[in-house]
Amino acid sequence: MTNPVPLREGLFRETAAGPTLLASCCTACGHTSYPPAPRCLDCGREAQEPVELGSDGELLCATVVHMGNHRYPPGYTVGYVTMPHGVRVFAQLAISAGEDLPAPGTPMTLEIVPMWREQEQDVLAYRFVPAPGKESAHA
Amino acid sequence: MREVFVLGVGQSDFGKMPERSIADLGGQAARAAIADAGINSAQIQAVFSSRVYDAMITSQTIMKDLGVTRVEMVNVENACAGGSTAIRSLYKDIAAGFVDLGIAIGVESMTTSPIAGKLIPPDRDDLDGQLGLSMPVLFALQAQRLMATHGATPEDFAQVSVKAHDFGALNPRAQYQKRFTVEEVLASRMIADPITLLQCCPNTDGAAAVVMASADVAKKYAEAPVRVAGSALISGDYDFRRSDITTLELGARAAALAYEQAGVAPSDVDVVELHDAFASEEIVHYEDLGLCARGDGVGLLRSGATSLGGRIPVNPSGGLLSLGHPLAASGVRVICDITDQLRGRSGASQVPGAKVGLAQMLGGVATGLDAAAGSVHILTV
Repeated sequence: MTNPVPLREGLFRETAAGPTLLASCCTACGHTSYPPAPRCLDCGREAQEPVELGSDGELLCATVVHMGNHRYPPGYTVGYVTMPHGVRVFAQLAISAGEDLPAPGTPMTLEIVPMWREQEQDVLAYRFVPAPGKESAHA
Repeated sequence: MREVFVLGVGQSDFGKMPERSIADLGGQAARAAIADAGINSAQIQAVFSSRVYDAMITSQTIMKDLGVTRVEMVNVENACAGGSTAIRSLYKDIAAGFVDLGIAIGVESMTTSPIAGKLIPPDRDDLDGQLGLSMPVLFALQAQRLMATHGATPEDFAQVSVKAHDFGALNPRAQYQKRFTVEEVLASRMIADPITLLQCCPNTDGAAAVVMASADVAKKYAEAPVRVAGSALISGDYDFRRSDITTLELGARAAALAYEQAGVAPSDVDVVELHDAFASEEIVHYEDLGLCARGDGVGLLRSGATSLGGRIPVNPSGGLLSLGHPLAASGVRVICDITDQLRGRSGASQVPGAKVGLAQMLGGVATGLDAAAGSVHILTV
C-alpha cells in the first residue's frame, strides 16, 4: 500500500480547521491568485505571500457531464465556486446521481478526496460539497 | 503596410473520412483555392498551414504534391484558431512586403486524431482539465450563467442550432444537410446540461485554403478582389479580469482591433461567420462582436436578425454545427465563406448585396484564462 499523492504540490492542504486551498497574495496590490503564482498576475510584482482561501465558497453555476473520460465515468458534476477574495475555482461537485443540481448561490464546502488512481496510487484533489445552511464566507 | 487581398478560396469535402490523408484533404482544398485564384501553383512564395492533432510539416506534406518546393513554409498551431493564425501570418508577410503571393491552409483529420469521439480536452497537464473540464463543459457552464443572467432558455440555445441547420441544409458542403426542430434538438442526448448532442459541432475531417496577394498581384488576376480590411489575433486574458463568464473578452478585443483597422462599425457588417462549436456560445459572440448591446444577445437571436433574410445573418454557411468543425480548418473556412458571400457566390444562402463581412474564430482553453486565442478578420469589396 502506497501513500496517496496530491494532484500537484502547493494547491491544497488539510489543516486543523479543515481543508484549504492555497493561494498567493500580492503584498503590493493585494491581488489574490489561485493557483498560487510566482509573481503577481495583475501588477507583475514579485513580492507574494501565501494565503489560505479556506474551504467555504458559493456556487456560481454547475452542470452534469454525461460523457465520461479516461478518469471519470459519465454523470459527474462540475461547477464554478466563488471563494474568498473573489477567486473563481473550477471543480467537481459531490452530488449523488439523480440529485438536483444545487442552485447558484448555494454555500459549498471544500473536501480533499482521491479523484483517480494512477500507477497504483490514489491521486488526491479537491471538490466541493453543497453545505446548505452553512454561512458563506464569500465576501 | 501594404493592402492585402483574397484571390481565391477552396474547401475539401467535410465529413467523416478516416481513409483520407492530410495531404489528400489539404491538397483538395489548396488545388481548389489555386484554381479559384487563377494562378499557377509555381507562383506561390509562402505557405502557412495549421493543424492541431498529430501535426508535423503540414505545409510541406500538402504542397509537395502540388509542385511547390523551395519556398518558406511555416506550420502553426493555435487550437481552433490555428487556421485564423495561418491567415493572419500570411496577411502580415504580404502586408510587410516579404512576399506578394501565398497560401494559407487549415486541415484536420478528427476521425483519426487521439480525441476522435471524445469531448475535446485542454492540454493534458492543464489543472482544470485534470479536474474534469472539457470544451462542452466550459460552454455548458457559460450557458448556465446565460440562463441566470440573460434570461436565456434551453429553447434559445436549441434555436441557434435550428438556425445553423436551416442554413446548412442549403449548403452542399455541409456535413449535415438536414433541418431540425427545436423539439428534436432538445430531445437529443444530453452532453452537459443544458447542451444536447445537436447543440455540439460534430467530429469532422476537412480542409480549407485561401490564396492571398498584394495589390499589384491581385489586380492582375481579379477585377474586384476581396480586400482584407482588418486583421486581428490576440491571446486570452486572465479570467479574474472579467466580471462574469458570459463574455469571452479576447473575442471582443480582437473585434475592436479589426473594426478600428478596417474603419467600419459593427452596424456596417452585412454577414458574419463565427465559432459556434456549441450553440449557446453564439449568443455571447453577438455581444462580444458588438452586433447588439451587452445583455441583448438573446433578444437579437429571438428577433430573427441573425437568421436567413435577417439584418445580420450569422453563419449562413451552416456554421460549425452543421458544416462540421475540423479544428484548424475552421479559421480558414470562415474566410472562404465570407469571401464567397462578398463575391455573390453563396447560392441559396447568399446575403443580398453583402459588402462587408466578418470572420471570427476562437480557440483553446487553459486554467486561468478566458480562452487562448481569438481572431477576427474583416473583408470588404
